[in-house]
Amino acid sequence: MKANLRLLIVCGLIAFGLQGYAQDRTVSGKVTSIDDGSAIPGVNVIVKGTTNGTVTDVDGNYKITLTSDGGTLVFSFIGYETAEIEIGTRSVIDLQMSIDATELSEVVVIGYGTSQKKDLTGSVASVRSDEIQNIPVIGIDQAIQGKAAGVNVISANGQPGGNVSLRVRGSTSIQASNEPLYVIDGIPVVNQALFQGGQFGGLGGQTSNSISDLNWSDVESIEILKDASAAAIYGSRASNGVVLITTKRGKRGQKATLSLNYYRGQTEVFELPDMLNSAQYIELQNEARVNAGLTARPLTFFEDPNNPGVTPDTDWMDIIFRTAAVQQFDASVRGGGEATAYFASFTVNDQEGTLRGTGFTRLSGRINLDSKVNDWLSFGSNVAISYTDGALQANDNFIIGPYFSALRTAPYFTPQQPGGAFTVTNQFDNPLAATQYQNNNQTYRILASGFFEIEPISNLKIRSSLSLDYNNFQQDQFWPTTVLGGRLTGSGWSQQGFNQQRNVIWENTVSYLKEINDRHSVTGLVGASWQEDRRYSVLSTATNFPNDQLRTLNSAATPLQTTGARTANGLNSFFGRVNYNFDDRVLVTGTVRADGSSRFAEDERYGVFPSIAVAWRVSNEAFASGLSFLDDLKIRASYGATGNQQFGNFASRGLFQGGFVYNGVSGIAPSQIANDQLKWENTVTLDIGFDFTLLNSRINGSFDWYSSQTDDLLLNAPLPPNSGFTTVTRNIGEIENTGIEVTLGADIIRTSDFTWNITGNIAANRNEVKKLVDGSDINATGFGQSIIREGETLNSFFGHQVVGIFQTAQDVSDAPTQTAGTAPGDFQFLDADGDGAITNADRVILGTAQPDFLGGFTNSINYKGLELIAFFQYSIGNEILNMNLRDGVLSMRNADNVQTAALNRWTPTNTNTDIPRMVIGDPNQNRRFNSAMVEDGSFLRMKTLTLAYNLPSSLLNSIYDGFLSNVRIYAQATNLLTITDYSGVDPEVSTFVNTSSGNGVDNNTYPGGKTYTLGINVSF
Amino acid sequence: MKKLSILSLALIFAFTSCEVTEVLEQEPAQSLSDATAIVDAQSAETALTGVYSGLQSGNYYGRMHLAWGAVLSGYMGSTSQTTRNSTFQSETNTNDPNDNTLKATWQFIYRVANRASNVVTLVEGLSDSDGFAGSRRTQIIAEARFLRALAHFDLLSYFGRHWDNSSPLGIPLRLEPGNVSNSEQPRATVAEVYASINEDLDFAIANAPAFSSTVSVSSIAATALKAKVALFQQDYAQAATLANTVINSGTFQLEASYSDIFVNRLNSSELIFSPFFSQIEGSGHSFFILTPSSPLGQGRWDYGPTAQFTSVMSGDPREAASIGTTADGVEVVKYPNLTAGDDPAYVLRLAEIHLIRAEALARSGGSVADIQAELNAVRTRAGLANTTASTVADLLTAIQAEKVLELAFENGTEWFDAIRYDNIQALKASVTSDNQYVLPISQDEVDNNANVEQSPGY
Repeated sequence: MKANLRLLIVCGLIAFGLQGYAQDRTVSGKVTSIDDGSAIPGVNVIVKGTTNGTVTDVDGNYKITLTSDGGTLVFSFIGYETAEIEIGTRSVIDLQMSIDATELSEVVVIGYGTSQKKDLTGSVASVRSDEIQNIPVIGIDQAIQGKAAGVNVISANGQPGGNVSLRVRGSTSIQASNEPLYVIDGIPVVNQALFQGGQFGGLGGQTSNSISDLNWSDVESIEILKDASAAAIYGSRASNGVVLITTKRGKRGQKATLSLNYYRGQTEVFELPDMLNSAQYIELQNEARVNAGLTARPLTFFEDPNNPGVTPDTDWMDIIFRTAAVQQFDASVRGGGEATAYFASFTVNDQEGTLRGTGFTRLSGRINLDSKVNDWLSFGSNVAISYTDGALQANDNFIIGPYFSALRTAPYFTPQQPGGAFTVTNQFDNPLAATQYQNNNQTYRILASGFFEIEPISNLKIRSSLSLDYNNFQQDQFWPTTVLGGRLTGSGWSQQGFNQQRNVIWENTVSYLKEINDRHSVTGLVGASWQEDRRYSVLSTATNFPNDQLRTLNSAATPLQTTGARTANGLNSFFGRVNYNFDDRVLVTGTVRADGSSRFAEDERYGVFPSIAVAWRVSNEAFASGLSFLDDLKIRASYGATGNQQFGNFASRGLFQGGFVYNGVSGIAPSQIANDQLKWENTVTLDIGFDFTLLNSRINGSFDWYSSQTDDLLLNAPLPPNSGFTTVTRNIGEIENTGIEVTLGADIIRTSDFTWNITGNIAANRNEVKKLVDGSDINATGFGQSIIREGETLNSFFGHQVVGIFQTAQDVSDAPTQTAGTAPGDFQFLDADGDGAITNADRVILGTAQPDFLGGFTNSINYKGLELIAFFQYSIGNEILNMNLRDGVLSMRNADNVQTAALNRWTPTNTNTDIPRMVIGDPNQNRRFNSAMVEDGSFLRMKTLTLAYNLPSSLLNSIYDGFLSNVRIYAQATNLLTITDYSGVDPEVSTFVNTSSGNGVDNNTYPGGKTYTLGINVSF
Repeated sequence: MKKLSILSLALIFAFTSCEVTEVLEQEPAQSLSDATAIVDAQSAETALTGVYSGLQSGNYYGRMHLAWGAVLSGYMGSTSQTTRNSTFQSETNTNDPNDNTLKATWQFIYRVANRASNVVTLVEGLSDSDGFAGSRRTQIIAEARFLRALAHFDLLSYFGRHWDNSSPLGIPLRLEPGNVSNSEQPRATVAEVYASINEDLDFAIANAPAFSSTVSVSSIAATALKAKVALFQQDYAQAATLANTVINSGTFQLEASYSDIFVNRLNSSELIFSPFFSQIEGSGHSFFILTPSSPLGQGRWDYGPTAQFTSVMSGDPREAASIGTTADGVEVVKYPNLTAGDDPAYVLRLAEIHLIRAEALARSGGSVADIQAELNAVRTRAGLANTTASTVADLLTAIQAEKVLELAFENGTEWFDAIRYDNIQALKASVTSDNQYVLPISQDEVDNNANVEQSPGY
């Protein structure tokens, strides 16, 4: 305050000194709102660079006496966009002020502080609360998908509350995580599935998402720190970008507002694969048997044993999918008294999944308090408590999955026997039986922090905060005796356990603002942080339950196994940032963070991550003042280093582990091979960009080009298995990501009654693996469908190229040798190495899951109180490995059912086709990974379409003296329309969502659906 | 206020040295650093337990040991329920080095060898005074060396040219604890592998404990294994002698009835060695061989006996204890305890030792009467009349046939015998080259070990 005062005095003196040379004259005018033409009282009008100013009266009129010629009038008023108008020789200047559409004055949250958007030197994408309100979102995916340039959101599947993955500017890592760091109100939080696995490998990609317990109605803004300048303050955790989530807070002196919101709707699954009916199945099955030299089964074989003469025809998809209900109620109150401001909320969210047996429920509450004790001391706290309950079903590659089973179970079985027992089919369990597996995941989470801030001398702020992120994840599986999994080891099987995580963070910062004179200002920040993350888990398995009703472990007669684990990691950090602002024209930011991590090897404990950024606000230069169309133009450049330490807690050590049980005695065995030089992965990023606003904020946009090099990549370098290990972790690889991002927004029409706004973004990222262990490929992830190879992108599919289909035995014998059983109707594969035989060496890269371009755009049309918002998302140039074709169309290698697309299989009379013959056993291995399974995954999807009506204030004012401040009614459809050539159900699924190289695989993956909701929002 | 600021700064930074902030000193709670893992008798015992535990893997004696040889030889095959690629590939003898089951078998057997070598090396570094009772330290080493020999022998028999003593194409030996610098072991020659196995077994014969249970290593089990190794190595005199030692030791007796073997299981009087299995430490045997409609429990039926087997077994008194017919088809019933999960893996049992001795005598100039006696010991117990074969050549044929009937689906003997007898190509049409007598080496090994080349033909 003192400094500001001094500044004002200096300015005043300059103005006073000039006074004698000028002649007095006046300028007057009226200030109105561009929206409805009404007068705006109380607008500050000031001659730029002076203290000469006034305020508009109740009718919006002002009059100001000038002391010099020329100059500029600055009009400012809260909630309206500040306008600067050159006076010239005019004596009357009227102004229509527009509502604050410009983003320049927006406060943007950055690491350990905030900044005005105009002062940002780094690349930060921001999603405001109004963009995510009233959308039935559960996870961060739906909240920011398509809204932030360069951020690719990959959802695993249609499981409500299910797994999701974010890629900020591509993937920087192979072995460590590629997920960004999530920071909620300054607390770096845990975002990892805490599921501990289970029999038959657990749930596949169907685990939960720990960010899903945040109530999105509480969110004020989401910022994504993309370049090194913005992110380097988070050091060794920032290579994948940082997502800052800020929740709503009250303001002191703000009138209390109670807001109630309710929506309800339903979800329908996308169009499911069309499976063969019984007649078609019998035809293909018998054909496949005969092709394999087996005898065709008599028709009686397919009859219902309980109903001789009748062949059932069951549509399994229809049996396991349903129309699912979705609803949410939330209430919040926000306001503030003289000393204390508050925000409190409560939410109930309940979603069924379209797949029977799946769903998600969340209860959550939050209180955010800010209290100013006196001039120099303030306190605050944030407390959020949530409970989520996800009902899941295994899928992907797990034999107990209902969708897995429905894609395979032959249609001639009935779902149930006359007594009610589930029919035993050609699958482990029939699809209806598979829905009986109970897999519940519950999370109890407390995210709490308290802080105080003292300002002992003006502009020096000392802040200390202590935070706790506590997660108690509970998994509760019960497999009743009605399903095979429940009968395998006895009567009923259950696995129950918890995985608890306690993350304590203590952070202290000191910040200082210094204005040296009216042209120079410096802010500085230094801080220290300690963080410890402890985990503790227990998992027990038991069998032989008295019946299917008593499901607690104490009911079980036979305990099978109990396991548990404890682990921890710590991070000790020191950081600092300096911002220098020269005359609002040149901005310089320097940051540095030193992170010590318990994960690094003893000799490599501390990593240092510096960055520097420069921005030039061209529009504030004298030469730009004549460019009246140009509101703002800023050119930025940044360079710096960030790291990635998201790997195993004790990855550097050679370890023996316990739990190797033999004859009831627990033994130990080597579990990890040592590397005493293990350290963080290091990413260096150069970013050059500009932001602009044109034509009185009608058009705004930004552009970024970046290039980032990551080296010291942790790789589980493979070891020959004869060593007893298959891998050792080493810092060895290199990856490069380069790309551009463009964001554009325009008010096409902007009148008081009617506005039409379009905003959109497009991003292109090119990812290249530069270096691997000895240059050798990594046969990556999952089923061996992907490869990591130098010179290629990280998500490269790998397999045989299909040349065509053999038509004659002569063709087979003329072609390179495939297998002994190859026959006409089988795929002919490319002999890439020309050795005359089709071997694994002939596999080639078949495509990549990485899109050429991705982004989204929003159309908002506003007519009086009526809003129509259409949000589209797109991805261009990515491929999907459709593994459902593998056994669902391209082969009928056993008794499993296949899709109707297989009816067009090769037969001696149907030779003009690209689907091979059906043959039991698939001797040619037509189902090996090949180009016929790789499809173009580009899509354009209307992600949300919202129609909303805000009741006019005139009507509201007439009800109980304006008791209601806002009433909004809305209808919304998500995923209404999708344009894609992809033949699978949903282009937005990914079996291996959290792996670096396995994205874009659709393997029995639970598809998403279309959701329709109706909602109402009332504020008092 | 200045005082306050100093105070708060002091408060904040004073803690840097206190316990709250010592977050970098973390020790694994569920693992031990390798330097401190094996330091005394107790930790040596737990590490030995870890070696045994490796035998139970589904990729080793927990399941695949019964499937590989049985399917490769054609006595077992895929069923309508089969999904496993390895089964189809073994059925047609076109095994893929990239097949996941094959890779896992290679990896998990080496895992046992590596665990064993860790115990051998680290326990050799201790002294008897580190809390070991009597000669227990040497016994532990002996047990570990037996398990390492077993792993190397299994690897050699599936992946190396075990029938050709002069072949360079053995397998990599894992004789030291695996680490980054010794991981690229080249293939030892077949002769070198046999030498290493015999050295380990000689140590075990001399130092392992006396027989106490079928689920732990004994000196006599090492003798039995060495007899089998000698047979494979074509050291027939040695094989006959060692087999005789086991038979005459009196430690094991043939069960009175063939079916009692599968009733008494781990307590069978003729079982020499098997990994331990129980409901908790269950094997996958039954689940993968029983049909969905089996009266013994609902299984996955990944493999079932072929017509080649049911025709030779037809009418044999052992038929009912070996195979059964269900609504889905014929199943193997030698592992009937689906729920209990405690069917052994028949690594070595006395009946096989009799037949080893019979063959070894036949191939080393033994008397026809002695050969017949060993063969008849097994036939008599089975409920059959004495053999009618009376020439060495006929006896050899009869012994091979007997081993199929007696030991099918137990430890791959039906496959190895047909290779050693050099009649596999007559037995199974899809085997046309001796390249197919070995499984391909795991692609993971070939890709990552510059010193190992894939076996010819793959």
